[in-house]
Amino acid sequence: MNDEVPNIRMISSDTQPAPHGYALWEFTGHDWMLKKDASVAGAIPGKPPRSPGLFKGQIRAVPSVTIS
Amino acid sequence: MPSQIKMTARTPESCQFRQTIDDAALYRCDVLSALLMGDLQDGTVVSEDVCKACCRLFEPSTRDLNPVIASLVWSRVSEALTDELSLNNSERSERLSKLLQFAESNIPVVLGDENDLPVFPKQFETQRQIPVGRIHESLPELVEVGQQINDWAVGVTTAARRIPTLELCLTSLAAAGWQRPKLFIDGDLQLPRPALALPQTVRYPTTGAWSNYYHSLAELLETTRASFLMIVQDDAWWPTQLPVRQYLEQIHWPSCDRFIVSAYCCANDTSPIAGWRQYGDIWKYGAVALIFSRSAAAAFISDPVVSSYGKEQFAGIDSIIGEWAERNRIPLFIPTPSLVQHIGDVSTLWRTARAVGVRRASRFIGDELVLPVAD
Repeated sequence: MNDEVPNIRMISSDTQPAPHGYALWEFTGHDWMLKKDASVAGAIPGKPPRSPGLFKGQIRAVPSVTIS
Repeated sequence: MPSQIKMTARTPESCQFRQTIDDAALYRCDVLSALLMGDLQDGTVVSEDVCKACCRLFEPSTRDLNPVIASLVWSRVSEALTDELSLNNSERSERLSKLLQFAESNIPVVLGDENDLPVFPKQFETQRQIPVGRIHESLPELVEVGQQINDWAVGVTTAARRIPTLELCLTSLAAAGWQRPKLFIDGDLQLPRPALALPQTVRYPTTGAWSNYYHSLAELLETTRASFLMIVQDDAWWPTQLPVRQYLEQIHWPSCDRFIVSAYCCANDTSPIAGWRQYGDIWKYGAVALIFSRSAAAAFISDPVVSSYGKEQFAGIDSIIGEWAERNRIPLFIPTPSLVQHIGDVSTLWRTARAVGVRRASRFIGDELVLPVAD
């Protein structure tokens, strides 16, 4: 098995659906806990995933939002 | 009898990466073991729930994580980065930070009310057709008087994928009205049964997604006299219950010589009002199924900027087409709801681009027009 960690280039227009950044949420087994806020300046994390996770420790990336 | 396509699904029991351990309810994952080297081996043990979630997705590797594996790596590594070992060992900390970044890049950013673990359907069924009038009601035409599309050349571009979609694409395309597209195959590919009898061009060795797209359109232009040329990517899923071709041949388009029609509309471009519209900005999301007027195709193929892109082109096909259309003021029309769904789990072009979030059609006419159960 190849254990090299490649540098992935996220260049496609399709792979940048979060102009305001994003937040990472972790499923604790019961609810979603904010683990990382990667929002751009002026933005805040959006709401956590609506559906429960499929397993404890699942991470979801959700687009951040701006408040007008 | 409706035709049926069965896909072979991965299961936890058949997973080549799953190893049993002493605890009957837990397993060791070889992919995690290879990624979490050394002192993080405790993090390679997973539950049945994890295996089930992982098997809903494409098979992961250490270079290409699916969101389940990416989740686990991210969790394990972010925790390890705060432990005493990392705090006292900059080399370890640097290695783990790089791994964390890699894992994070493999977790798709998806709206909170969407699923980032797309389920690849095990079976599609070709249904009886709904009358074309229902499409007209759901997707009104842009103009009532104008030219019509009635003379087609259709090509399907395809290449190897982790989860093959070509069979689904061709079967649904045939049900929607196009039974004999030309296949443009990039590289070595084992063809599914519906593809065997179709005309084909094979490029070997692999030329890349952009090159295959460009040369496929050029070949249709050179070898046919069709007034309209449609290029469909192999991860397009057409509504099998709807006569989409008949509908597209009945509606009207503004009387301009050069234009493009996208049968696909991604979530980002979906309009609050159903109907066709001319795209008002630089179009860039989803060359899933594009119809070029012959003049537009000829201008596109001969454009010096477009034709200068080579195999190592790192802009998306859609971005190139959108930029060219904007530069040359070529109108591009898109529908709401989308006439086609994007089912590709992973693009043949971009290793980490998945058909989730904005890359799916949030309104797909195949979901909106269905036969009643009692019908």
